[in-house]
Amino acid sequence: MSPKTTRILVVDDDVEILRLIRRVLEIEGFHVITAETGEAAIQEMEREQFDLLVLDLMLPGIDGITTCRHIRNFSTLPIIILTAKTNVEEKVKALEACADDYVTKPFSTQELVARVRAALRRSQMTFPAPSSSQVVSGKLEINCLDRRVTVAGEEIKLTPTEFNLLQELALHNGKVLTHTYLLNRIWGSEYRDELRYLHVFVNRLRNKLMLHEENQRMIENISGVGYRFNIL
Amino acid sequence: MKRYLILLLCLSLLCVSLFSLAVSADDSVSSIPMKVGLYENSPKIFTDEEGNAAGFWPPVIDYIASKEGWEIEYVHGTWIECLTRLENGQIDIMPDVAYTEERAALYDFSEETVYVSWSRVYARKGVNIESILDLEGKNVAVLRGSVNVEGPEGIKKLVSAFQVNCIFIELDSYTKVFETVDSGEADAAVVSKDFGNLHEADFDVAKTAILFQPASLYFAFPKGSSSTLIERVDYRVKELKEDTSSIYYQSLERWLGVSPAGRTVIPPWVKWALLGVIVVAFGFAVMSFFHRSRVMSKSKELIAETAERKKYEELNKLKSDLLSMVSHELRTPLATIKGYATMLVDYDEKLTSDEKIQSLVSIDKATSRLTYLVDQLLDMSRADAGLLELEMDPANPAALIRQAVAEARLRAPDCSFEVDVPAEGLPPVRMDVTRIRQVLDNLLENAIKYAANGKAVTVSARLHDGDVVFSVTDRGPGIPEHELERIFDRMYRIEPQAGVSAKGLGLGLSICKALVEAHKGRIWAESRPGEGSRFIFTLPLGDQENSRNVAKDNQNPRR
Repeated sequence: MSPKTTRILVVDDDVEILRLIRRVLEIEGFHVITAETGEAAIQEMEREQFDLLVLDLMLPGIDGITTCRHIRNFSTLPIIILTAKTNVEEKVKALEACADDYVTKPFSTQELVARVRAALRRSQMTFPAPSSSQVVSGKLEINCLDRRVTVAGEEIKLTPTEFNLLQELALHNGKVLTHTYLLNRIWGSEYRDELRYLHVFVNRLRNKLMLHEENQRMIENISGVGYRFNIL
Repeated sequence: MKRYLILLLCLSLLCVSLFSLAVSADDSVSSIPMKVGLYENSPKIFTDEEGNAAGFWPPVIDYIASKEGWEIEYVHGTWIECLTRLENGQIDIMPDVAYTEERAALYDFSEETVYVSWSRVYARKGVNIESILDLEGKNVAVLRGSVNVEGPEGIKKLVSAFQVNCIFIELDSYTKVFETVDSGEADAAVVSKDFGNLHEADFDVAKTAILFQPASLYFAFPKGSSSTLIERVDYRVKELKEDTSSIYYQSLERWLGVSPAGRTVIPPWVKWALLGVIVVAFGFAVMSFFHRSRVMSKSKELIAETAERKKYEELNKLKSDLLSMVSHELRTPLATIKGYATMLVDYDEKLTSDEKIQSLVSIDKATSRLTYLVDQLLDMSRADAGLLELEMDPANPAALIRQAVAEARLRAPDCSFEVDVPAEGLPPVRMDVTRIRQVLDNLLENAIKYAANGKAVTVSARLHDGDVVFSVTDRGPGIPEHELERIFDRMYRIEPQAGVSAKGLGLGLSICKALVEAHKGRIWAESRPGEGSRFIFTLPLGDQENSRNVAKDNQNPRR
């Protein structure tokens, strides 16, 4: 996907910030649409296809987290949260709710562009097709070729990052994958110290897959080391 | 004449003599002599140290005698002698006689029971007697002729029923019975329980568990006595028993330890023990009181400490919230500054000149916003410390309003403004012009934010009751009633409304309040949801010369 065709929706109620991001991303070759409220963002998302969403948390009307959750009901696009809130709890709350990444104000334009590109790269990441393109564990089925996941025949919607993480774990069934390896592999080297991201995404995966009790031990935490996928 | 006097004297003497004779004759009629048998069985009946009749029975007998006009003569003797005299008619009344059929054949009995008693076996100390069977082969001292010896339920019948063989030593009084045991001549004694209770400590005897022969005690009379005598005795005994304050109950209580209600009178040692218990209980109560006081005091301390801690935690949370909010609010203009600055550096070649200028304008506006926020924080800090200094000078309110509105028009070109001041003008008011402009600008800023769709914002001033009353009115969504009271609180921000975000530190109105009150004025808000809001503040016209000092004094250091 070339930058020219990549569509990004930017949501912030501060018009100065909105104008800044729009200009920078346009210079970088992205097609940018802006919205000032959560409601407007949802309407845009329902009307058009986007490849990435940059979302402020403090919005008039429905706030950023609520907007994010709503969008997740029908879209798996990568979402970058942009906010002046700095405490860790807010960051984790946003990541757990739906987001893929988090950029804190004030930010440099280069930092923002780098985060946007990393998120897009993750969402477009395709690993070499494995010899076995399908992993089955209990009632879980992972189809690596068409990137579909089902539990007891019911499709589970995963974001690209969630799918990449699950696929990486499943293809190394029975092996412990270290935190650093997974962060490098899924998020990129610039995220190698962001252990929180890994924990939050594993939790999100578990929450989505743990509809059935037998899946509970499928992604095993090896304390202080990493995670291991166990075929049941 | 002399003879008449002598005759009169003789007649007088005769009258006195006849009257004396009559009185003497009457006395002899009411004092009926009555011989009463008396034997030694204390405390029921006995002869005291002065030779008088004492014990439970004599006061009862004396009472009946006083009522019936008897003259009592006690005839002393042993129990057997008394019974013999009664049988022979040598005494008229014998008290303390238990009824048996054998005795009924020999004597007449009153119908009213006077007292109920029973008998007990005592053993010499060291002699083990726990039941009737233990009397086997023992020498038992008894009162000769007593019902507890010869009666149908007496000791003789009792041992016979258990086929126990013992030797009875019959004596004339209970005192001798105990003395015989005490001296070792007898192993056991049979006495009435009242005698035993009173005298057991005086002899080397001990109670056994053998209690027997419950007996109702009556007055007994010689066989064939006048029924009137017996009826009168019964009548008086009944009368005595019906009155709980009578001599009968007093005598029962005094000699036999029985209260009028039939309850055993508490012995002195019990009273002392009770007193001790009360003293100890009082001691415990006092200790408990002090302990309770200490607990209460400690509880109060804990409650105060908890309240203090809660207050501290609230303050801490407030401080944390304030820091979080300040951080967030400062970061927003900083984001604009850093964002545009880095864009100018990173994309210099790709930006047009207009874009670069626009970026610098944005940086400038964000810098102003940042300065405004820092000023707000400083004002809050000064108000807290009581350091808000006012430069008081006379100023024209109408001119101040027009100036503020003119600048607001530049900031919000889409918004329409109306100025409403009296045509004749307003008198000058002493004020710190910069600070009152700060108040007006803040109120105008809020009004512009909420004056949706370019609806007019009205700023007015008028004279009222010695004050100049300023107001800023918008036609926005209004403020819910429950929020009206709190909007001047520090860090309080109205719930975000459609199209309007809750941005800012939430300090603007609280600083306005501090500034207006520093001028001795008042500030408040009125609103109807859906129709808009009006913020009103007053500045006093009076005492203009001193207003500077007053303004300083009026600052609340804890605001």
